[in-house]
Amino acid sequence: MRLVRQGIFRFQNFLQFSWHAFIQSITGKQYISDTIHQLDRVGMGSLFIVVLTGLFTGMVFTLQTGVGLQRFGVSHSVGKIVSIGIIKELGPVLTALVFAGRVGAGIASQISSMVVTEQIDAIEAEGIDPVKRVVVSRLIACLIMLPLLTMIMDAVALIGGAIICTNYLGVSTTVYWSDTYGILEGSDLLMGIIKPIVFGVIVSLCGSFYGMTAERDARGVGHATTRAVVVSTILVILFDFVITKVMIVIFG
Amino acid sequence: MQVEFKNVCFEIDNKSILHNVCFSVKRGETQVMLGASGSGKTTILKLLLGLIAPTSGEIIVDGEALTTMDAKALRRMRKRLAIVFQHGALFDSLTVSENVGYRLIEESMLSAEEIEQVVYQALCFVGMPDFANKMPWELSGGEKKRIAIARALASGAEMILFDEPTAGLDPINARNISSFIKMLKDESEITSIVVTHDLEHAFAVASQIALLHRGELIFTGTVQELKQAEDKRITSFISPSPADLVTCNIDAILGIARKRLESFK
Ligand SMILES: Nc1ncnc2c1ncn2[C@@H]1O[C@H](COP(=O)(O)OP(=O)(O)OP(=O)(O)O)[C@@H](O)[C@H]1O
Ligand SMILES: [Mg+2]
Repeated sequence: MRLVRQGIFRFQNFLQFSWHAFIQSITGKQYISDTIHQLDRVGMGSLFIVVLTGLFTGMVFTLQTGVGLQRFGVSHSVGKIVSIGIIKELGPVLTALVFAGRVGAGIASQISSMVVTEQIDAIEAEGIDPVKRVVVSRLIACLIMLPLLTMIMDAVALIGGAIICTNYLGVSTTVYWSDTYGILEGSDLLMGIIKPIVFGVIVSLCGSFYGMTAERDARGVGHATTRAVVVSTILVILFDFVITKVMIVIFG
Repeated sequence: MQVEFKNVCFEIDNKSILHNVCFSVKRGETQVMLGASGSGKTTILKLLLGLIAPTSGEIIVDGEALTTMDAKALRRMRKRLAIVFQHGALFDSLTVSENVGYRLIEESMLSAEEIEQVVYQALCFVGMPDFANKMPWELSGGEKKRIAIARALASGAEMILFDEPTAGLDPINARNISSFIKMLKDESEITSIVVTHDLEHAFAVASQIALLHRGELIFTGTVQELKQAEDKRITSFISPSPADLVTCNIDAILGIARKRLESFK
């Protein structure tokens, strides 16, 4: 019972925190140069791992699907399935999970160590809102960078698929690419872009929230980082289902 | 700036940290807070900044109660204060000079050259003008403390809170800081609250002195009055007798050392 109450209380705090961060990011003075710095860190820092994950996921996904389709003798249309699977599902989710592990953990550990060393207190003592000063730039950076990284992941994964098609499945590149383009509808692309926007908000807010509420000792940093990654991973998977379901209801 | 604590109590998890603390600081004064480690000195400063809220009682700044201020008024009040944190609390993503000029850069009322000038003077004051472009992690503990002091000086605040400004400094720098705080009292309108357990330093700078004992204020008055006080808790803090110092059986500890020494032979 006590645990449930604590959980609800914490969730309420999280919502309050998120609302506060949202208001701060659209009003008042903005720290543009901080945001640019964060964009660079968040984006460039994750680029390599996103490309690597994308390439191999695209290859293995195409291989599995292609071999499966060969049993029905329709392996030539592998491009259609691969394209839908990657754009709507694999690209957004995998990028977000990689992102949570790298960027979300980074945000939580940076902010919590600022809490532990009283830097957040010092910002507050300067008469500045610490959420405005340290959270907003990270929120905006994630909001911009995760969709971009997802697009890169999608593109690389499709290229990976093309490599497998021509080398192992005997499907020509022209057929593959015309299939991947041809099958996609507007609503698929919409889903592929809405997901990373939502995930970007989730990862950055979880990281900041657990960072800001860290215990004020050396354990604090470790706890905050672990919690941020675990919770944002769960939320990403949960919201992935919710968004998919809602959009299928809307667009059919 | 005037500050008044009225029956302030502060608890964490039902554990009393401060109990019925009352004192007031008038404009231009230097209030010294003495007290043993863990007696609640830092907590008083954090209460005054509004970083934590009292469980009961009131803190009044220039006639306005801290607990009734909205976020905006609180922010405005904080901009008139500056604090030297016990461990410095420098921003580790910024250089030393960006740290020192933090408030001026934030407010952007001065030109870049003017800010640079103020920062340079503040760094000279703490004897570290050639540290301007270093990062906080390159500094020792005492150096961080001095930069934190420079940051408070450069902020142009009406009231400065010092949390153990001389702890961890060498005697020369400690004396510099002492004489500076005294100068604040004698030659400016700036109010300061100095938390310390360095008696010599405390007596040198205080216009008012207060003694905290386990979360209770057991004395407030002038240095002279403190020296003449007869309360046992006060005398044992100011001039501890041998009986106050040793509370453990030292022979037990030495005995272990002797035994180990023999076993090595
Ligand atoms: N977040 C906290 N949770 C639990 N107890 C706390 C917390 N912060 C402070 N305390 C307790 O409050 C008391 C006063 O702490 P405070 O930091 O004000 O002491 P201090 O007088 O500044 O000591 P020092 O000279 O060592 O800095 C201590 O006994 C400490 O254990
Ligand atoms: Mg302290």
